[in-house]
Amino acid sequence: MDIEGYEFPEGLYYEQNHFWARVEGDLVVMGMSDYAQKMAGDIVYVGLPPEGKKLTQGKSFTKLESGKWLGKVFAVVSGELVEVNEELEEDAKLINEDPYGKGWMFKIKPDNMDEIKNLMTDPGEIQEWLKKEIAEHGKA
Amino acid sequence: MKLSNLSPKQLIEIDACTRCGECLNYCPIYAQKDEEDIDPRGKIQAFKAFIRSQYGLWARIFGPKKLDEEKLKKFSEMVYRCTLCGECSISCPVSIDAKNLWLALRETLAEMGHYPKAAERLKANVLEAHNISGDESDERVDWLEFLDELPDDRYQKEKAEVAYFVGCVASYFPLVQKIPQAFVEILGKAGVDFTLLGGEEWCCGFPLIGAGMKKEAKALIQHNVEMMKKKGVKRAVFACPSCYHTWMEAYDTDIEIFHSTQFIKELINEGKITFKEQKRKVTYHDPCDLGRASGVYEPPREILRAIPGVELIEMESNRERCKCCGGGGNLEMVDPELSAALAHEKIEEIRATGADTVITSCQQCIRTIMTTARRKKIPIKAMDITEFVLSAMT
Repeated sequence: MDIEGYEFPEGLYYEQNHFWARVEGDLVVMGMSDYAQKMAGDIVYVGLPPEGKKLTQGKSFTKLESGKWLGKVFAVVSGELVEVNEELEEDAKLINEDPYGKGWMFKIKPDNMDEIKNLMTDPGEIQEWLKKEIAEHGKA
Repeated sequence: MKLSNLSPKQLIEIDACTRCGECLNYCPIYAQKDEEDIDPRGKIQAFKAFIRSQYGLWARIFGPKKLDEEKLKKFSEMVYRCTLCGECSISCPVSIDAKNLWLALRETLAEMGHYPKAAERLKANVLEAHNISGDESDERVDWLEFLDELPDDRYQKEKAEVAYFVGCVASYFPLVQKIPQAFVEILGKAGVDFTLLGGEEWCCGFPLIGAGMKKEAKALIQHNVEMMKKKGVKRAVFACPSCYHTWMEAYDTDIEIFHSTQFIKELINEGKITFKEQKRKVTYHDPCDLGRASGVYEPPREILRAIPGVELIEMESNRERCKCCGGGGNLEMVDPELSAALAHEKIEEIRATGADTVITSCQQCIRTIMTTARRKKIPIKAMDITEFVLSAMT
């Protein structure tokens, strides 16, 4: 769905810090929302932690940067980091170009898949939340 | 306008400028902007006019003129739109130390409230969080989590002879966290008894000094020296040339100061670091704060020559004539487009060498070069010398 010019595909889960989550079998794939990538500008680097790292839902576990802007990446669910998108090492701009596709960031094996229900997935709720975010942080 | 931030030598230097314009041939900002007000000669002449209006003969007879706020604002923009690369200092035929003059002018302007708005946030971050990004102090060593193996003490000993002072940029910015990750591995493999200061490391003060807020840096300086002393440190090593230069210039301590290139060179001489062959064509970029500001040109080149198979191709402008990458002097904070334009020039010069990799000894140079290269999708590889050394070690 399009919310004020930002793409938020339905069927995904979104958390408050603008990261999305998608269930793939017994794993959860995560990335950055269209609004966040546009606000960040050209992303030049993402820290890719070693696989096997233990993550906690809502806690930051790495950073990304675009010029002088420095942002934290928050875990969408608790669990083990099982795969990182290695292509981002050389081409982090994939997050800008295709935030929900080639720009995916991490795959997590969740400790408890039910935790994903803590995230937003209802289109009405997402629209209401994003409009508040735009009112507070502006548009890119 | 007070002149107390300028030394008698600097006041004489302002008067000594003959307006010959030699500095115009070297100033990278003038090369981009082509405005007389922005080059070293123009700035000196503008400041001379301010002095005359306040302290000249007419001012003595009739009193100082009211300072024109618009002129001051414009002058401040010119003074802060500079990388502090120091090429003007080495090119001046009458030896005006222009770089230190710009720092003194920034101090004067900052006291008058004429400084970039962005410096306000920088100041708040450094004074409140003790780092440039405003993040928590205990996140300063988060980069350790990316290492495959980590000793129980997490490289933070109670006592050690050597301390590695990481610096804010390499601590908090992921694009260059490979530098501390590589350097602790090098020190570990070479058997050096070293420690990090961890969350107790504070900003060295360089960003404040560069912003004209030198007096605000005193508490940071005192804290960092105390932390080193507490750990019994005798030798401090810096991979960041700006931290290194700041410790050399602004810190009063008996702790021996080394840049990582000097320290690595010493370890090579002692046989503690040996290399395997590398078939690589590289070029070397001299960071302004390590080269022109500190005079360290040869140790990085000696390291590269010590690695068998490495061919070092010099850029057209090298050593004291090396062109700034655009990342110095807080320019990126004031005028990111101008900073990127300088980085683009640098990238073109690097590519002209035909080298596959540019090696440097500064995290900020890497960030500036790589940020521009990635934004413009220019295929170029930039590495800090610590990463390169680690990859070549046996």
